[in-house]
Amino acid sequence: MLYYRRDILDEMGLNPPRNWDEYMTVAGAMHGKDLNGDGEPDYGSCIFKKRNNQSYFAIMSMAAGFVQTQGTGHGIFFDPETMKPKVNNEAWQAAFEVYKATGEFGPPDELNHDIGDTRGLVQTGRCGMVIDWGDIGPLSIDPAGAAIKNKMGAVIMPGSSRVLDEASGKLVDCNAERCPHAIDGINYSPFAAFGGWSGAINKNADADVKQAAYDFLSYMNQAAQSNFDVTQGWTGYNPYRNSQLDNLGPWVDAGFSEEFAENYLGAIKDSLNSPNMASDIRIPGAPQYTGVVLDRELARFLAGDISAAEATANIEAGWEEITEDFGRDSQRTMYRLSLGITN
Amino acid sequence: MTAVSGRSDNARPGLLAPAGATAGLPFRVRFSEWLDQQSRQLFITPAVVMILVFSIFPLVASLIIAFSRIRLRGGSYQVTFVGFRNFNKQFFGSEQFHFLGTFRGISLLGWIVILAAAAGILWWLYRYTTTSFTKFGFVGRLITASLGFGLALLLGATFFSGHPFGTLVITLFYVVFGCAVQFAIGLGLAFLCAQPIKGRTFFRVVFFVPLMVTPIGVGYAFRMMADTTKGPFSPLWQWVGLGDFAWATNAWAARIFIVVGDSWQWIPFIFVILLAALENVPRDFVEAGQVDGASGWQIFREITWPTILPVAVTVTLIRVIEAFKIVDLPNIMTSGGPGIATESMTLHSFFSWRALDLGQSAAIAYLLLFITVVSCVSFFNLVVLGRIRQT
Amino acid sequence: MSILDRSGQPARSLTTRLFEPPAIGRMAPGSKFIVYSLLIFWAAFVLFPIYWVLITSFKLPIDVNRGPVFLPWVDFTPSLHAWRELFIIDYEDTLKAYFNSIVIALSSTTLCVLIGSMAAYALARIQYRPKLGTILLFVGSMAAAFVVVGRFGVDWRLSVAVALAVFYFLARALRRRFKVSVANGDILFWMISQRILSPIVVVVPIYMMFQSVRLLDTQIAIILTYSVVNLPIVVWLMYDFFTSIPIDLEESAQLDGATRITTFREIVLPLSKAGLAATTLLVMIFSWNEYLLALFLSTSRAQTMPILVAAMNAGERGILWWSMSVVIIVMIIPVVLMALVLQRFIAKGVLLGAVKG
Repeated sequence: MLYYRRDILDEMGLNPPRNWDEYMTVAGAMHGKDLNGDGEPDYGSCIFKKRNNQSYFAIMSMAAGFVQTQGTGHGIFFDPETMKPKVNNEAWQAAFEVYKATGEFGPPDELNHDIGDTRGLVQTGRCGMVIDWGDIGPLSIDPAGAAIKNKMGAVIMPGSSRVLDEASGKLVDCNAERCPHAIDGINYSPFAAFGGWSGAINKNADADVKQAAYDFLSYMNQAAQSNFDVTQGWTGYNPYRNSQLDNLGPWVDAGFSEEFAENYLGAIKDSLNSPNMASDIRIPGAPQYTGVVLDRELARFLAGDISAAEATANIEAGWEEITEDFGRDSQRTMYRLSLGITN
Repeated sequence: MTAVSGRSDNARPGLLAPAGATAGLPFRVRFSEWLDQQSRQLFITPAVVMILVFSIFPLVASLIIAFSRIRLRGGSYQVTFVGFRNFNKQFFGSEQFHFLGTFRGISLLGWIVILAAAAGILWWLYRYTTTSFTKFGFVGRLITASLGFGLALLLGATFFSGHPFGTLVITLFYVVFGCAVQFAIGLGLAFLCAQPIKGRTFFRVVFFVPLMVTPIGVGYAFRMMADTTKGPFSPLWQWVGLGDFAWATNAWAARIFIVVGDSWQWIPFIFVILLAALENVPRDFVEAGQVDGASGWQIFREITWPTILPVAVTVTLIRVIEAFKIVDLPNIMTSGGPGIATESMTLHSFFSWRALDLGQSAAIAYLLLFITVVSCVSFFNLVVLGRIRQT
Repeated sequence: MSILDRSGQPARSLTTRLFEPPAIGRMAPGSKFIVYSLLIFWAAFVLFPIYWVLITSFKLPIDVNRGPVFLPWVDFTPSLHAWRELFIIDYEDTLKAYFNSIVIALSSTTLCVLIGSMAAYALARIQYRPKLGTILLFVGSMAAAFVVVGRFGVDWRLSVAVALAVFYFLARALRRRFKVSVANGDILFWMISQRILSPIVVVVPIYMMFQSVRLLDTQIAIILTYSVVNLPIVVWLMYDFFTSIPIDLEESAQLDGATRITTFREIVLPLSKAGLAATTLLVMIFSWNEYLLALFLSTSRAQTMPILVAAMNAGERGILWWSMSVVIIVMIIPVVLMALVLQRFIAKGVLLGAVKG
């Protein structure tokens, strides 16, 4: 999700960005201004970019809007028929360029910032905009986030009006047929990065251990406990039950203003309910595909070692190698299952 | 029981047993005699067994892993033999840029370096064959020479040609540059602390402290130090007008900063040992030199240096061995970034391991092992033994 | 030229006064000034990161994030929140890790120094001439056992036992045939060279090994592993140390009928106090601070302090600099205390050990 400093945008008479061009404009307008009143210039955009620290989630979030148009079953990583990577194309390259460009309006050592560093900066009010999971909402009402309490706004991840044409690998303009889910000509594809928390119980465990584990998971997810947990910034829990998404009560109790609670939950609902939500890579070897190959090429691109085209070409080659290692057919089956393609 | 002990008493009056010994003693005597006979083995067996079980067995198992592909499946694992695939990948395949570097032609400077290295190595081998020659020594020198030439080729094709290099060269940078800096500063500090001044003990204890901080703590502490937005030196950066310079985004700055952190931790080690060595230099020699009007530098070169040389060599060797294994600092400070600029070979291997690519992880670790062994053994046999023979 | 010479004269005398020692063994004020400034500069370089970690442990998250603040009570209000969190709220986890670290560091150091110095002493005093053929035979039979396990899925215990038996009988039968033997120096080199192994090479098999005997996540697993990892250092330093002790005392003791073990215990060990202290300290520091192996071999019960440091980098909340600083500080304290106690041995001990290279 994209968070922005509502107070600053209102003051400047700007709207929250809907696509990445607007994002760059807004970030540029805010960059260098003093956003938290300490007399020092602050940053227009904060997006973690450190290697080996989840930056692949950020790039996938950005790429999704360029790549996926046909709904959740479309997928952003592979061609579900051939398992050929859908990565060496203008869409991913555009996402790479956007990711790098946002650094211009970020802290000077953003390349070495992981998500914790970024959140620290956000909490002290030094960032105009930030890309994050649902955590920024509760973090902004945490005592450490006093500088931004109820000053944030949230909105669905920016989309794109130019999307991937898979046949040619080029970016083309959206139209009704190409972008069936587009809103005002902009294709949004909120990316479910990391997929969410799931509980797992070892099937070889003793029966009472199984029962205890089950009871624990059940306890954690019942409304009584989880409705409180999601309002706390340090749990890593974001709203997921209807009662959490629809009732403002617990949020207001936790310190949200009604206006911000509504805005925050609205952005989450927009993302979760989007028919074009993009799902994370959920097949064997996922850490190699993203955590090693994608992450490393992204880092080299950000460091200026290689161009976006070289990076995506390397990723394609690396992914093909991993697919061959694991067996193309079984990977294809798994990928199709993960997208909900059953036939 | 009594019968047995009685018989043994009669048969062999205990040599060491005093008169009126209790019934248990004869057994103890027998036991200790047996122990004495076995002491040859007893002293060394535990160490040998432990090394065999915990070092050699894993080493062999790792070798097997390096030649296979391992998949973890449902509480078990499945091993497929893949030959040299994991190694091939590092030298010629998709990991080439990562391990060795990117090859885009060799510049003039690169050619000069390569040819100079080749000429030097050939001359060195030629001189060896004409002066003293043993089959074993020649084979050893051949291995050293080929590794040396390989590295020269690699450096010529990447570093000296201005192309990006991989984890191998980065590791060598940490080892060569880091150890040189640490040795120079460690020696300098030891020299200062050996001066007749007050408060030596205080400085000695203070200088020793960094060695006791856990390496990952050092990593995080230096990450705080280096933070240009909220670290302690950020006002200084702003003040000198480098507020927008971020060390972590510049490849060489990042590498050097990691060496700074590494040096902070390891200089104490070199310092303590060299200080002890310096204090062991016979004072009367030094004073005699001073009386004769020798300059400080002359005294150092003629008296101090030869005395501390053996210690200096040992400490360097220990340090070099550890430096080849550097992993915590680059992992914590930069995660190997920007790009792959600060990634050491151990970190490279660690990342593969983390993605469960165990075969590749083991292959990289083996390459590191090979390079370390050849470098250390060459250093010891050629440089150290050579120097000690000369002096 | 002449002007320069004349003006050079008083300058030289100033230089003389400042930098030439008034007497041998004493320092001139000028050199003293330089030496002190360098020493103080380095002390500041050494202490500043530790000072920073120390004050960070008293900072609130907001004090860390809003930019650098340097002096407690002056530009921020110190808070004990991180200390309270670690030692009152989550005290069980902290103390468990602390306890694990102490037990592991002490036992592995004891074990390692004991076994290592025995081996070092043996190599320094007893001639070993194992036959090369026997060694190769052993390696061969073990490799065969491996291949059998890997290829045909035979139970590894059975396979190793058979291989050992085959080795034993073959070695007895062929003993006379083997001519080439290796010397102490080779054994020493072999042991020391184990230190070159990067932990990453051996850690996966060690993990599987402990998994198969169900010792993962126990102190024993980590103690044993650390002992082996540090064994080469002990053998190296203690070997040099033992060879530097005059042999006469031991010989006269043996003439008096003392066994080798008694000689070792009663004569050699007391003479080697300094070397043992220095080696112990070094090994203790290594095992107290080790991270990578502990990361592999422990999951929760056997967690050590370095793991706790790393755990303060909690993905979701970012790095908890304040809590991490607390852990780093409490980790330094016992080692510093021990170093102070052993301080007077260190210089002497390491030196004597290392002198012979």
